[in-house]
Amino acid sequence: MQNNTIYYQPEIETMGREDLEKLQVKRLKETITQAMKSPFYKKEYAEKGINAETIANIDDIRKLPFTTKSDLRDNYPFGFVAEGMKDKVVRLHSSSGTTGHPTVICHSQHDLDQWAMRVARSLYMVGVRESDVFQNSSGYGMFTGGLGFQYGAETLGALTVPAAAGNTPRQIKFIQDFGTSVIHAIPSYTSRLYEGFVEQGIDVKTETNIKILLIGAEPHTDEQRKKIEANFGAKAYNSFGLSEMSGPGVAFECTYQDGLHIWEDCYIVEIVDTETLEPVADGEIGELVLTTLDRDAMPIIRYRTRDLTRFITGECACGRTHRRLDRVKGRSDDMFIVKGVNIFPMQIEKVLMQFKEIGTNYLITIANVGSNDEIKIEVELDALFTDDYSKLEKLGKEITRTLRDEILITPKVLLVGKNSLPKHDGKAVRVNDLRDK
Amino acid sequence: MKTVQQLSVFLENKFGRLNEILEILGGANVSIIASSVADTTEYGILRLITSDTEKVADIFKKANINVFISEVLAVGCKSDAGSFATELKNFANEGVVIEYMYSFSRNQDTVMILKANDLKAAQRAVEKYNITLISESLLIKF
Repeated sequence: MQNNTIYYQPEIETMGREDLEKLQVKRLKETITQAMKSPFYKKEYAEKGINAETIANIDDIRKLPFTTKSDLRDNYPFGFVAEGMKDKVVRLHSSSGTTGHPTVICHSQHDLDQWAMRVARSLYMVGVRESDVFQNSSGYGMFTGGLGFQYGAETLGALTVPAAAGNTPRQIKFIQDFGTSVIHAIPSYTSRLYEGFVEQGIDVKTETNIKILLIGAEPHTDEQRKKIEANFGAKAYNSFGLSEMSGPGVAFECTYQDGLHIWEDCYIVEIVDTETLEPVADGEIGELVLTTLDRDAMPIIRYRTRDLTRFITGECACGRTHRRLDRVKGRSDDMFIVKGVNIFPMQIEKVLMQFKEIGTNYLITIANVGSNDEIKIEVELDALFTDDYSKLEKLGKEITRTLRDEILITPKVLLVGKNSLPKHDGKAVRVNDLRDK
Repeated sequence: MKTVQQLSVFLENKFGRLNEILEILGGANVSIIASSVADTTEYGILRLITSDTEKVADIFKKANINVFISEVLAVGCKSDAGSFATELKNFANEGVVIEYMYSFSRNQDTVMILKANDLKAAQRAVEKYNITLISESLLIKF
């Protein structure tokens, strides 16, 4: 029996817009009813006179208030859990909570099953099958990239290797011994893994079975993806998710690699202007706002993700009708302002990735120098390609000039030796703001 | 033409970095025959001729230290007045540009390590003026 064929669901994935919106309206009404069983939404919606009847069509979602990360924190830990669901919650995931309370997301068995289905559907979309060996080199525990992919890949029927993050020599041994064909890791870790192969003198292209890499949880550029693909001689697909929306499997690239299909049977997707909070024009960049449509224990409505992206307009060649998001441009929280110019780390990364002489790791430091703010960007030399100073200086100047064209400010570019910048097992810290606050 | 392999190591401008690198070499039981450090305000390059280039390159690569191998000339000359100038003039006559050089002496002999921009032109000068080149195996015993 070809059980796994259910992970391609053409009746849902290629559903026409009108039917999809009908399904969304129906599920949104159910979600509102369910959400109103939670202490938070019960109070919030009662005050504003909102209920399922508020929604007649998809645009009526704008009548509902936004939910923010502070709402989740202020109602820590269980203020969003629907009444009667508390005993049915089987797992919770929590964010690190470096500022104030962490956020907590509670899941019923139904919620976990639906989440695993979305991940399985995403994996199937990029060509993962039950014959594959799937190594999850992502942190486990509270980080949703661990268990999220674990259950998704098991649901699909692949052989899973829950390697977890770090310990590169052991990762390489597993890849070789178990014939790993698919790897999930954060993008910065794939660079370390690749270096591990180089150090051991193993040609990752010919001496392993790796054919697909799944990369996500960390904003990255298309240039970085291409570098990863060239290093591994494999396809790398962008995965997008956030713990508040369960985790991975919210949106995923298809094999055309032109945007991430967001599963609109499970989420209502809006992109809004960060100032006016009104929808932006199709194709314009704004903040992603998501509503869960299939969560019982802890529905979240109009959640402001802080992720900045845009819709990719037009139809996808793969035939799926669920709209595509562009790769995340950064978080509205990540943006920094220097000399009155708004700068996203992604803009800098995009430029750096064009230079083959330097590696994928970099560090941005912003500091007061006298009365001025200065940006210092340290980049690692990938290989010493010369012993001629003038050539090294020329490279530094070329990087500086290209960066200035992109961010409109002249940064100080500093070449450093390979592996001299802090390495990351978790999410990379790329910006160090040392200015007096 | 007898050339000598030189290792160039990228040095971050960080306290103790040179020492770290030299300790790695000491630990590997490799001896340094000649060395020079050039620096800018931001980083430096350590140039080394060692008793075992391949071994050192391998050790550095494993330690994630950026290294580059190039061919240089080891020119032998007397330490008396004027011989240094004569040799350099001979190279200049054949249009060879010296990118950098460093030297060391022992007893009455001096060895100049030269990086020539054009090895073919350097070879012409060596043949025409009968310049003494010292091979890697001899240099190790020097």
